[in-house]
Amino acid sequence: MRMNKFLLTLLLIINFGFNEKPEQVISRQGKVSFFSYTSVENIKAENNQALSIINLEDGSIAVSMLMNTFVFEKALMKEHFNESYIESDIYPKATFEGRILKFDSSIKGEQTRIIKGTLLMHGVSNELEIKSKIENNDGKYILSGTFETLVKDYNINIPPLLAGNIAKSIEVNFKFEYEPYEN
Amino acid sequence: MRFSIKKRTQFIISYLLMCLTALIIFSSCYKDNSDQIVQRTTTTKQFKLAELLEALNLNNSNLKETVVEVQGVVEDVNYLNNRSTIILSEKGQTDVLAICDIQENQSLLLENLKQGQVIKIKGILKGSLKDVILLNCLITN
Repeated sequence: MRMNKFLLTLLLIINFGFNEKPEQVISRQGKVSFFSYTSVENIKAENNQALSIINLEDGSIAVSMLMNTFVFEKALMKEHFNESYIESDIYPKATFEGRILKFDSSIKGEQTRIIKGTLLMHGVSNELEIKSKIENNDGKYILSGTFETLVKDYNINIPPLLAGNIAKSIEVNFKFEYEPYEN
Repeated sequence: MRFSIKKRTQFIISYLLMCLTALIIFSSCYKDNSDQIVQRTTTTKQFKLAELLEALNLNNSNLKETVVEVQGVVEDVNYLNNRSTIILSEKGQTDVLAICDIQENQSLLLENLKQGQVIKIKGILKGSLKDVILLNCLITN
């Protein structure tokens, strides 16, 4: 009898162990890029070290990135971005906290969902709703999407002389590939 | 008359060549040269990964944007987003990591790296989120 109980417990542990889904997934090398298109010049920058964690149970999502890890084609663009516009010494990080609405982590394949949350950048918070694609390839989640944001919403001062070089609306693209996370 | 046309053409060509040279010099001056900065920097502060994280946690802002050398264990090498990246860990502590974005000319060295190998990497220290982040890295040892 005691032996049977032991075997049953062992089976339950093994069963739980194998079927256990991770509660959280992490992406340490998320890609976030932005584009500014004007008739004077096009500016493109890429950040490949954005951090993101998703709680698969409730769909909450957090993103954090260092503003000085954006890579530009030209040194002068990087200098202006960090020193004059974003002021990365004072505001080193941008963060996003939100929730993937109607997210079901058990759905295999693709699902398109709205992510609602707050983007904090340059010391200014703004509510955003972002349409995103979520792929679930056997528990490996990929989140990607695009959104537009206005420079003036983040209290970024652009000198009148350079106003023509920077678009009023910036296109932001992102892609995160997640892996199970145990903290 | 023919001589003057020839001379004028020569003048225009040399003027265009001068403009082109100036443009090349101008654009090369303003191209991001972070890779070259790391290559040229010979004297760097050296850290073990845990020490570097501790220094950053102490809000040692003097270190940020400087070239540092860090020693760690190769946890992973990946090519996500068309970038070559080495993930370093501290010996016996896999929760302490460094994400090192590697320069393009390091591909041969990358191929020979093995998981668990102890290496030194030199790069521009950008700061830390959950992990330490270094860009424009070179494998030094």
